[in-house]
Amino acid sequence: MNPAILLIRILTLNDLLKNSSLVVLIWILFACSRPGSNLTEIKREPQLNPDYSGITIPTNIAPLNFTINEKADNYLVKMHPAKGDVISITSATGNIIISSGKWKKLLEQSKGKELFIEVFIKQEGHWIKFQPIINHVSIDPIDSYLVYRLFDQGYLVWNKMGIYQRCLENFDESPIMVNNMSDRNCINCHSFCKNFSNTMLFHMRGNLPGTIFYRNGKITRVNTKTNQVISPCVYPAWHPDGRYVAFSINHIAQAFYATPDHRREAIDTLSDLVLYDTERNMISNYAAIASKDRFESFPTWSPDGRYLYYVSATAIPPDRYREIHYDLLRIVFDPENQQFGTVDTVVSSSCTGLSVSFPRISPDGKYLLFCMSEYGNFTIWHKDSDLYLMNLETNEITKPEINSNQAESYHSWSSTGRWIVFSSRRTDGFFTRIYIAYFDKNGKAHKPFLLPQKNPLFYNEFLKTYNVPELITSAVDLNPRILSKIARSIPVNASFEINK
Amino acid sequence: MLLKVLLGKIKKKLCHHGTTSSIFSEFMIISMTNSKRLNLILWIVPAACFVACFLYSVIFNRYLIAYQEQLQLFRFDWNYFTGHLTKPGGLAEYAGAFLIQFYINPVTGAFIVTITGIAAYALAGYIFRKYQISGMLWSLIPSLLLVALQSDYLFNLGYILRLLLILTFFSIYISVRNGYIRCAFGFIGWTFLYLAAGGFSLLATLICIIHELLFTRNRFRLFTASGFALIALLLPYLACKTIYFITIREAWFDPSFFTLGKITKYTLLLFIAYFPLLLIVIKILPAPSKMTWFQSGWKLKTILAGVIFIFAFTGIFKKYAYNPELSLFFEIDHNVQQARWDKVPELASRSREPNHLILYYTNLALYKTGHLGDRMFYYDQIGVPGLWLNREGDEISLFLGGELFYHLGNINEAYRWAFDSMVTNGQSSPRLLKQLVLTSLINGDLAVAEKYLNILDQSLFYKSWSKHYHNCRNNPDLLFKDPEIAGKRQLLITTDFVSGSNDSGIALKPLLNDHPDNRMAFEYYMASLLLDKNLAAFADNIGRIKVFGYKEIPVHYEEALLIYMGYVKKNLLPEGYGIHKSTFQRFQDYAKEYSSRSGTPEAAVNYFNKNFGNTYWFYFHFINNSPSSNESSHPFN
Repeated sequence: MNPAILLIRILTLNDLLKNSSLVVLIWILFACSRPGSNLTEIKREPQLNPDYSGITIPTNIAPLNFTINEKADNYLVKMHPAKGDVISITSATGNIIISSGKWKKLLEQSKGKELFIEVFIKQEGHWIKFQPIINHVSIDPIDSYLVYRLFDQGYLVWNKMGIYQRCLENFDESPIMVNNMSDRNCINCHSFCKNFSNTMLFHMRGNLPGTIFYRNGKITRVNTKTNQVISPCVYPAWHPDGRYVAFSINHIAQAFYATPDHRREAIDTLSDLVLYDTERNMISNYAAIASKDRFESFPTWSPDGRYLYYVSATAIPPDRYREIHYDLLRIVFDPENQQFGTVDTVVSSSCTGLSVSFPRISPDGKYLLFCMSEYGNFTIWHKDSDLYLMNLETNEITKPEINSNQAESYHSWSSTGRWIVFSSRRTDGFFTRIYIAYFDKNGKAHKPFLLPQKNPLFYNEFLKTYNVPELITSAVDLNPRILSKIARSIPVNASFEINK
Repeated sequence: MLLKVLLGKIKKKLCHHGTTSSIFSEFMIISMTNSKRLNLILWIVPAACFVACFLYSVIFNRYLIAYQEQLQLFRFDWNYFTGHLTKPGGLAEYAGAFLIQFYINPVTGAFIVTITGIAAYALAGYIFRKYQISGMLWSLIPSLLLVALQSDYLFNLGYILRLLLILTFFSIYISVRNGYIRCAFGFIGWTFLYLAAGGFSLLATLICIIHELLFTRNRFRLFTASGFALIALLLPYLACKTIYFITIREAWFDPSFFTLGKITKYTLLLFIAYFPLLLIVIKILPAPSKMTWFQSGWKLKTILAGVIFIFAFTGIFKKYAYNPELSLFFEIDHNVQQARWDKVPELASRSREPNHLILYYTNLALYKTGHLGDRMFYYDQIGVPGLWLNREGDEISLFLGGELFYHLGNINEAYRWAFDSMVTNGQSSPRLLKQLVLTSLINGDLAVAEKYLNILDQSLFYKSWSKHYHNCRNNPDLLFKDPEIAGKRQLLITTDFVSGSNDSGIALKPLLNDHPDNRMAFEYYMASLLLDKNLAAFADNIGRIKVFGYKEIPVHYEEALLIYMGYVKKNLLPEGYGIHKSTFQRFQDYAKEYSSRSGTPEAAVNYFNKNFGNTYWFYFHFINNSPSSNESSHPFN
């Protein structure tokens, strides 16, 4: 035999033997790291952090990475629809990171159906299987982007803050505006017209004050403080036509509590509503929504633009702040003539015994979501603040099962009305996080889930607070470089008129 | 070195020619020996300087070093690292933060500070040798400037590292002989230098341009110099337009530069200007001067110049860079953190000028050692505000002021100050995080406490502390047995009260009303009444000393009572208590002197200060103060 050929054969055989050994070794290891038939089944679901069990999720959501809060040496997770591919993920730490591609495929297969999550843990060489988690994948996608403000939740101070947009289909987060490009001022109250990213506004306070409007492809900086109003414009609400914006104007005082259960309070000492016309650059004052003996605030429009909803309370001296209870009112609006009409009471605080804040109507006009708490309207600092739902056809008020024993506060609807995002402090009682809940056609809000992050342990150490979550259908095509130029431009002064 | 070689060659030639002279040989041997001694001196002198720097840091600056460590927490965490990449110079800042964590041991910190000085010396020496500048002093100057800079607690080690990076870059740059390669290295290297060192890289630009224009002869030196200038202008601009979300000003200048003190700023500018100026000078000056000043040997003239310089530098440094009051304050702060309360008043007595921060700590320490009622007027009080810090004042006040509330048992307020301080600082601090953990645990906010503990877990030196409180957090029995937690939980406020955003007081009365057993609130309340000269209210509350089990009336309380009882002509002493004879006698002496100088008591202030300056009477009659800010008006008014 040719020595070369013999050598090749020997080498090949060696390789084969080596590879075989390797294959056997891998198989042995693999077999040992996977549960066999001899495993214990536990009749409860595993504890996950975040809690992604029993939820309804959109088809276009980013992977819901999580940690398994069960002590074990090894972890195995299998995700699959009733019929379809299985994603298997092993972990030595309990951190489950799901591949984006596989996740997307899984959601596609599970659209409109159930998604099963089977969790196995290995303790002292023995595998344990938990009761499978069953989630539901909705056929309704969620708006692709979520905009929020991120800031350090100081009491009297601020430092770095910014308004960011997060793509909900992945983990990309990019700044729309950051305050280190505007002399570290306070930027807040971003608002969009009908979930559209091309019609928006936000305020700047402190240095470079003003309101930035982005509309019809133009960005302008407007000074909304005139001598005739008590403050620059504060809480905004875009009229559906994208021309008018209802604003509150407020004097707000703060105080800080001493007992562990309370920390902070902010109340209106003066509060009215005004209407801003973006085309005429005109702030209009209407007696009906700016009475001297009442606090009017938190405007929001009906989807057809015919009604302005807002909260209103009897003006009470600040030292009696616990007696301030806001009703929910609405007033007729004629956009052609820019006139307001009669006022109705939608929710009376004297009937509910609670104070209303943050009314928002679903895009189909059928439902009104709002907050109620014992008093006042600075609800994020009120543990008892919860979300309530009113059926605008029947006027029935219910309390959806999306609340917790901590504060639920600012919320908004998706463009289709099928998803709600809201602020909640349920994770630790102090830092505000964003939760997403499915709202079905029957008016039922499903169990909310925490905004997913790439690192499942992200929220364990994240010290910034999320604020004013708003869903938008496409990305905002602005960035801090563009906006910082506008922020430093000379503001246009708004005019003022009084309408009777 | 040159001399040694030369002498060696001469010796060789002479020996080769067979000409030997015992005297000359002896001379050669002496010269060679002197040359060895010279080398030794060239090592010893800088070594002595650096030992002196080390000793200076470890003796005079140890508490400043310890304080710097408290201002930031280095975390072994990917997000912490990437957070530093959001602006130019972030890498140097990250490296600086890494090293600062070792300041937890001031000796290690002093060692790090000294190493940076040595590095500056070595790099400067290498650079200057390339330009035939051989004097040791020229290389020492940058090191000394760095030592001066690090005497400012706000001057971060990250800045020092940026400066060292620049010197390193320039050292490599001028080592490359081939003009083309040097140019390529310069342009590419500067890009990375900018990312690592930020706007300080402009110094590198300047000295590279000077080097190319004045010290090279290649034909494209103009191109290289222009290229540098262009890169220095364009790259930061492009970086802020494409990579970073920063303003154009921040692209060139680190914003914290503008918050530095005047002396530090000038010292930094001097460091930055030193290298370019020196290069220009040696180019401009005629040759003989070069030989005289820049290739100086060990002559009397140069040695004298060096000694004068060192002395002059020490004098200027002592006057302008080293702040003994601040050093004293840091020492006091360190003792407070270690709960060595007895040391604080003793240290405070060394303070030569009124210092609110020192007074604040002194009053706290006096309470902790049981002497607030006896000795507070041994120190120059400034009225009620001396009991606490104004949170609107400055960052230090916000950083330290929450401590008082913690000790008083106003836990929400302590948390608020710590959190706001962390927000203002823009980064975590071990001291603040620990405060946030403790206040959260005391308040029962276990989930919040865990968040802060998770952050401390990522550090090198706070893991064990964190582990202990993780265990407490997970085990309620342990939690309530922990002495720190248990003690404060007993004082948890039950009756709510509100403080306003403009409230400069510390709400002592509501605190006391809620917990009449809160001894510290009582003593601080009484102190505030004394400082406010509100003797009626003081007298109304004197009966509480019985509740607290005082064995006798504290001296200053006696002094105040004597004034007030004399005014109202009533005996207001609590039952079972009396005035010490010595206090009474002293009061009589005081009253006699005060009466005799009744026409112009203000004119006799020096006399009273000398003889009765440590009494309440002196404070009452001679120290003006503004109206009380203790009883705050309603927060919403």
